[in-house]
Amino acid sequence: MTDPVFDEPLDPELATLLGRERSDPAFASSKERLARRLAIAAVAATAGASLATPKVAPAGASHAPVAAGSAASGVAAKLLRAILLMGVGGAVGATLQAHRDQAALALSATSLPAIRASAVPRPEPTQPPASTATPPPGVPVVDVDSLPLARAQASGAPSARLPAPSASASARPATSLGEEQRLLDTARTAVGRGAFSAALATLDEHEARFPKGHLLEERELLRVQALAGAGRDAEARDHAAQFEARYPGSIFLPAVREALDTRPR
Amino acid sequence: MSEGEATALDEAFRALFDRHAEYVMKSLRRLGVRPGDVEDLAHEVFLAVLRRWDTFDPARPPRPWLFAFALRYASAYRQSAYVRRERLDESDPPDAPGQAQTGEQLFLEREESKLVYRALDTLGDDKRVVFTMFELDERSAVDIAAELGIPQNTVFSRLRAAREEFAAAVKRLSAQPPRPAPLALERRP
Repeated sequence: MTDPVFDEPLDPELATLLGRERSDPAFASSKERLARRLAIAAVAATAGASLATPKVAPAGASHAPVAAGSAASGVAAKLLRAILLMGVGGAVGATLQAHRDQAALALSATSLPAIRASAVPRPEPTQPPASTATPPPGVPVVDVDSLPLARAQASGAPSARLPAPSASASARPATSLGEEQRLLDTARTAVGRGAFSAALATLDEHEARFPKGHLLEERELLRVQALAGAGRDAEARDHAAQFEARYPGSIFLPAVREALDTRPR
Repeated sequence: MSEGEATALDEAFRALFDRHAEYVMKSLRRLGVRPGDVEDLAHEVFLAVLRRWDTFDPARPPRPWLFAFALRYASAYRQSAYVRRERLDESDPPDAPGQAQTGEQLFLEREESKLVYRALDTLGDDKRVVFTMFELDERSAVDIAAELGIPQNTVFSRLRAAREEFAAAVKRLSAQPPRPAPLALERRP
């Protein structure tokens, strides 16, 4: 079939006007700002958001399926987690600094370079443990390897915010924050693949073990997502309302609301 | 997802953003998003792009894929009460001249008053979309028909009507001073 449109030449003046619009480099300053806003999201993605989970709907579908909705909330969740971990990272850094000060008192001067580890390769756990660097009881210690942000930074930034842990630090068992994260990662993965009751069981475990944990908002977001995904709408709404009452300023709030909106019809 | 996959996604996403962010923002503008709202909506678009990364096919040209996101967000935007209210607000007299303006405000105003956009604003949504895809993105009628889920003949008829209206609007608007910006969308039935 001959296309009648192609035979109708456009007025040259209009063609010029449209050609200028095509090549006009508009919104350059917006692009920079946008890049900064999205760079955070990109860090969140690097931290391991399950974005590559295969989903069935094509890009043209008008309604995202619930899986996409959870992935959406996943991005928001990662975003907050990245921010949260930056704060935690600072605290960890301070804690490790305290350890180093202690160690400096306890160790001979020759041992110091190994402990001032931020500039040297991380010692392997097989090296003799610097047992004097063990923190006093009650000081919270986080295995830096359990922090996604630390991994992300280690690959790119020449001077990571977090100093490398001493040998004894990396040999320590997973700490509460790492364990909290592990549980929530498990729950999030379960939500992502639609295993809502498994997710809820994991979240219950988290609640039992960490009633006053560091990641309560994230847990409750996941709970709303899992309940909504499982079709337990009334409970999902109850938990969402509780969330809103308890954390009115939470940046998870949009994701909580979205979880209610994207439950299957 | 393994760390390597995450890094690959991150890099691919950054590359896509770097090469096509301005295209996405211009597409939003062409599709009727007001200059002051373009950045926010583009942010939404790119977050959606991240969420739907599984539908990205590196073997195919990325712009049509991105345009589909822009189209959906721009349509929702045009239908939103917020925009309708803003359009009513625009009937207020413009700010007094001489008022201090930032470079950003000037940029937005210049965007607002661009002839090509003001002429596009006179087209109905359906015609505007087809015209944008054909004349500015230079996509084929077959492609447009498939993307919009309409018959090719409909693409042709909309395009022909859009060209006529666009040409008439350019002629009319060129004869007028650009301010106050006419609210052509308001006059639509």
